Amino acid sequence: MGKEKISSTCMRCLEIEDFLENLGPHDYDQEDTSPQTEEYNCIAYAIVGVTKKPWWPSARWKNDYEWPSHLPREEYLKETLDNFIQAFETKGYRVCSNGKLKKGIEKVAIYTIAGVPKHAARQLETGVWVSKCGDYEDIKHYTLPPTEGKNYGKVTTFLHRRRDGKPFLKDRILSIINKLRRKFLR
Amino acid sequence: MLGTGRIPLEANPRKHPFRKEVTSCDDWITAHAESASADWLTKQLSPNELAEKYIILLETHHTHTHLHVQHSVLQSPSIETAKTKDLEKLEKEFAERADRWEKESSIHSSPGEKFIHRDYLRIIGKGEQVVPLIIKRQESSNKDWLFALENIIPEDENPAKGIESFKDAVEAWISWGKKKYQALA
Repeated sequence: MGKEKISSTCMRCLEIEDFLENLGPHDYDQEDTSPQTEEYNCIAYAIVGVTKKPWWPSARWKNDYEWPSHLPREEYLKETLDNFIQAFETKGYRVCSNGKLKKGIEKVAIYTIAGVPKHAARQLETGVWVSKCGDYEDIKHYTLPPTEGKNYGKVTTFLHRRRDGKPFLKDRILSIINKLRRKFLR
Repeated sequence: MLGTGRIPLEANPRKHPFRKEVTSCDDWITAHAESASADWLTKQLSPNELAEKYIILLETHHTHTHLHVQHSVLQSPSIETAKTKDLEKLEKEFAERADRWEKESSIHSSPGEKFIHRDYLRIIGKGEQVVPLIIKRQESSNKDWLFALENIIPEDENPAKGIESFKDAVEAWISWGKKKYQALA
């Protein structure tokens, strides 16, 4: 459903092309898309990859939406960017200035409309971005602009983390300072 | 103000449009069933509004017959046909809007964005008459139709109040719906 077979390996995601008005058939890799699923969403896919639960700070169906327990659940359409940034920070991400490809670094782009988060995409080692498009497929798109538009808004925030899972130098220094502070304040 | 010769409007008895025509309830029904039926179809009046509109006109002459008239008007063959046509129209519109909503809102991860879709809002706007259709749809759909039900049914009647899992809430609403609208059972 929603896919048109072009050759033995090519599949177009027609619904996604319909709803993302700037996305053309050549803006994403038609040979490498997932099946449609509601099990996870774009935020879950950006933070942890394929998973069994969507991530959203939803106050309804708290058992069905994953969200860090120390962060607030928010009203629909009043979700805050800060809450999303803090959720990504729990997985080692830190805010950065751009989405340029950097060796050993994994980046995430958050899309907003009027400051309210709507979507997220994650950068692969090749520089290609991956997006889970709502309940539809996840696609590999070569750049970010084709996925921007009336549904997802514009990319306003980038975050990054080391691909090897280690913390950034700045975080390590801060951690040492905090340890020393605790030791001398006793 | 004396001597101006003015008679206040409210002092004049109001002329009743049907006063001369109506001689019995049956005459009245024969004379006005067509117009009542047209009102049903074009203005989409509810049974109560329809009965009220026509019964108030009649009450001035037949104060003790209004229950009989209400029953007769609403059960008359032309009204029954109109009711069926109206229901079919509603079901068709609901199915079209529901299909479109499920398809178009699926591009969003944000639940709020899904719910502000024009078709979803239109369905909520139709009120309690669409509740059986929503419940029937929810039985075979994994999309969140419960937000619409929560916004139509008064909060104190919400059978899924306090439930934090969508699957459990769906079960609660379906079982509530089957009790309330026995046709669904």
